[in-house]
Amino acid sequence: MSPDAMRLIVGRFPVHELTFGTAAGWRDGRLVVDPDRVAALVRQDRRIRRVTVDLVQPGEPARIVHVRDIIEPRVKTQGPGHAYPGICGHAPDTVGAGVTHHCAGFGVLIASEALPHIRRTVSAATDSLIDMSGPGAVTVYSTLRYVVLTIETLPDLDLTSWNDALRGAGHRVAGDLAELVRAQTPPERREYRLAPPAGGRPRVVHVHTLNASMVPGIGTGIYGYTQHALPVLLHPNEILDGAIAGDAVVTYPGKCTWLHVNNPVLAALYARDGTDVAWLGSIVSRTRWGALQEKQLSAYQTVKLAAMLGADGALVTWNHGGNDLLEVMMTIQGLEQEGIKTTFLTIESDIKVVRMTPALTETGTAEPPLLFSVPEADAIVSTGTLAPAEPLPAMPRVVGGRDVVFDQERPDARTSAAGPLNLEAVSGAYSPIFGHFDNYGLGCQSYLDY
Amino acid sequence: MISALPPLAMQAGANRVVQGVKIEHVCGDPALPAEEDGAVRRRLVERGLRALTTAVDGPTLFDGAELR
Repeated sequence: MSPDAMRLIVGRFPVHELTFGTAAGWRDGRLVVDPDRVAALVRQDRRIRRVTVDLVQPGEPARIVHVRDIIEPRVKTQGPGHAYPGICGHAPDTVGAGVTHHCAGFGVLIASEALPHIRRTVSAATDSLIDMSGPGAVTVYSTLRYVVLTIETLPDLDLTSWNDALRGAGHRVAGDLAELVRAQTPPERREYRLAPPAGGRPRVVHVHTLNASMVPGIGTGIYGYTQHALPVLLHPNEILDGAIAGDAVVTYPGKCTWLHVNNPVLAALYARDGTDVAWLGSIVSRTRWGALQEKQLSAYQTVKLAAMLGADGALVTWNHGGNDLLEVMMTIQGLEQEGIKTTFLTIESDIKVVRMTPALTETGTAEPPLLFSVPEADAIVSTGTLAPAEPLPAMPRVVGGRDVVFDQERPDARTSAAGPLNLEAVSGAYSPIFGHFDNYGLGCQSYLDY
Repeated sequence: MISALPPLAMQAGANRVVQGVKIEHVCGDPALPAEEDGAVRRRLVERGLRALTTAVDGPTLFDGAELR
């Protein structure tokens, strides 16, 4: 398929108001959800023992805990394939062409406390929270409206089965809600296609590095493929149709399914494509290979693909932290050595929770902001740092569970999620605020907030 | 230091760095039969000992090339 043939019309149905009712539907920005229907859809899977359906809105004195994933309802009304292809029984047909409708400013949120044996074996299955108001409401996830599914599964499910059960429930509900807008005329429509490279505009590629989990069967998937693999070229429209989707285990927001269809990097590049740059597409390179030689191979093949595409420049992003930075930096080094100018978009202080006080915004800390770097990485855009400066206050309403466990080695040491919560004292490697780890610049905080 | 990721160790200032196997199992390879795994481990330890007795003037990689 030629890039020019990949045209996607996206019909946007904003959700300004969200209520329960028996007559489910979307009208003039008001989404009515039938809780009994939603609960019945979740309970179709016998591995699920219990579900509670809640609505949560921005500005509420509410805290959502045990966030496993957030899914934006999307449905293909024309064109090949299924939104969120390759997972939950959806066919792996190539998506990105035709017409897609979606509910905007809204998500189906899967909440479920990690089973104790999963908590012990998957370090990334830690506890997370979203505050809808107050000092913790600093991420984009505090601005969305949610149908929250608080799910209790059978206690003895293994990791992949637990993930399947939770994720399947979330996508059944999201798919069902998306059907409410399938046949309607969207209030806003936009056509997405890549302009043919012409006019001497610099040819730019998005090097979209994505962590692959070292734990088999979970993590970010490309058409559901989660394992480490050599780089693949995606048309941005495939990503808009959900070709990159997360699991329901890992709480790193970089794998959030909602994020990938709302990635501001795609919007920014589409805004420039055909005007002052020619966007060639997104090379997806997997990160967190176990061996140095694998990291090198992935980096070198990514550089080769960019060179074969005739790229003049590359916007490099990543969605994780830690040793993934090695292959990201080796990719930047290789691109620069190939004559392809790079800009790297990243969070600072990628692992540790560094308390960011007003004084530190002026002086910085003694910690290097990044775990590893190369001299060629000389154009870096920061999306900010991690930690909140103040403890989170008590919240009258808690959804998604009652207690949180911040130390995965001590699952019996439970803290009441209602708070107050001194995150700096209780959290380990990174902030439990979902979305705080924001490698794409979705955050609501600016320099002045720090 | 035996490291799966020598570039990281060396940038952090480790003076003698031996290339290990991989992140999941730095000092051996459980995919190999026990005897071969043992040989891998022995080679790494011997290389580490050799590194310890070698004078260096900055982060230096011991990946086996120094034997050739």
